[in-house]
Amino acid sequence: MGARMSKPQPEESILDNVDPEKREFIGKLIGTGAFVAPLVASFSMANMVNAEAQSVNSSLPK
Amino acid sequence: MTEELSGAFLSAVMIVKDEESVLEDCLASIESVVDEIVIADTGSTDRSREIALAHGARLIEFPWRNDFAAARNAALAEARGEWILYIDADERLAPADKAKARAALDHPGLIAARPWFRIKTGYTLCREYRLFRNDPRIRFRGAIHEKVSIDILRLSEERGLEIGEPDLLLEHIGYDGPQEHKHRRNLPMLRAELARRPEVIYNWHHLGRILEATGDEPGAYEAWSNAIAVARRRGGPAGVVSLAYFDLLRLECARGGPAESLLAEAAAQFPDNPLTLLWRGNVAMRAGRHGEAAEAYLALTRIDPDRFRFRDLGFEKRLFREVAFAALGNCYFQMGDYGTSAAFYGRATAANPSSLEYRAKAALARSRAATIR
Repeated sequence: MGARMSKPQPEESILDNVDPEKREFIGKLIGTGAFVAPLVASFSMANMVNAEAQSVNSSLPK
Repeated sequence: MTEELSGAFLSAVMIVKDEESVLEDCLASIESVVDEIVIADTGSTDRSREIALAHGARLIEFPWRNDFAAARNAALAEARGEWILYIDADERLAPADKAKARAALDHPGLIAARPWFRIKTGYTLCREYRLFRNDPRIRFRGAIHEKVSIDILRLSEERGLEIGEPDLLLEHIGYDGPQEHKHRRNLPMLRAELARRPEVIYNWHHLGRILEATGDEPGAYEAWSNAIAVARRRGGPAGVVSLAYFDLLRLECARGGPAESLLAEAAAQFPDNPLTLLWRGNVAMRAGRHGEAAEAYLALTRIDPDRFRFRDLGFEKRLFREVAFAALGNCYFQMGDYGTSAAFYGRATAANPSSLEYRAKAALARSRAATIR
C-alpha cells in the first residue's frame, strides 16, 4: 500500500518534515506561538504499545 | 433497609478502616437493595464509624491483625440474611431494583452468584464472586487477597449447586488515583503470605506489579517468573497466569531480551486473550514483521470494548481503540504507507483528543504521504 520514496528514519523532528502551513498549525497546537521547541516523534519498530488488564481476586481455574 | 430483620434476605458485609472519603457513596449505593449492613471496623480513626451508623449499619469492632480473611469472617459471622453481598468501601453497586435482585438469587439450586464487576474505571466488565448463601461452610481464606470462591466452588461441585450470573454491577474505584499507600500496606503482607503459601499465583503476580510500580524491576521480573514457574508445575487460574506471562513479556521486550518463546508459550495457553494479540503485534513489530503485526493489531480493533466480556479479566478499553490505532499508525509508517498511517493516527487522536503525540504523528504521516504523491 502506498509508494515508498524515502526510507523513514526512526526518529525525526516533526517540524522538519511539515510544510510551513502545517508547521504553523502544530506550533499553535503546542501553544508556543512563534517559537516552537523541537518535538521529536519516535516512529520505531521497537515502540511497544501497552494497555493494562487486571484479574479479579477470585481468578478462575482454566 | 428494612427495620425488621427477621426474614432478612440480603446482608451486605464489609470491613473498613479509615474509609470516610468513599464509604458514604458505597453505603448509599446499597442501602435500598440490602436488608442489613454489617461492618467490621478494624481501627478507624476518621469518621467511618459515624458514617456507618448514620446509614443504619451494624458495627462490630475487630482489631486489625494483618489478616483480611479473619476480619471479613468476623463480619460474616454477624450477618443474618439468607444471602451475603460482599462489597468494599471503594466499590459502588450500580442502581438496582431490590425485588429484581432478590428474584435473581431466590432459587434453591443457587449457592452463589457472580455479578458484573468493573475492576477499574475505564475497564471492560467481568464477573466476580460477590454474592453467596449465608452458610458457615463458606468463609474467606487468605490473609491477603482473601477469597470465598474456594468454598463456593467446592460446595457447588459436591452438592450440584449452581452459580448464578445476575444483572447487577459493582464498580470498583479503589484503583483510581495514587496507590502508594496500598503498596506500602500490601507489600509486607504479600511477602509474608507468599512465605507461607508460595503456590498462590495471584499473590506472586500482585507482588510483581507492586515491585514494578515502586521501581524494583528486577524484583518484578523475579516475581512474575515465580508465578509462571508455579503455573508450569501445577497449573493455575488462567486469568492471572496470563497476566504474569504478558507482564514478563513486556519487561523482556523492554530489555531487548528473547521474547518469541515466551510469547509462543502464552499464545498456546491463552489463544483468545486480547493481550495475546497485543503482544503478537509488538513482538512482530520488533522483529520487523510488519504485516503480521498489523494483522494482530487490526484484530484488536474489531473488538467492541463496550460489549466485550472476558471471564475473570478486565481490560483497559483503550486497548481496543486508541492503543491499537496508534500501533497501527506506527506499523504502517514503518511499511512506508504514510496515508494509512495518518488515517490510523487520526483515529487514535479521535479516541484520545488530548494526545499531542498522535496529532503530531498524524501530521507527519500526512506530510510524508503528500510529499511522495
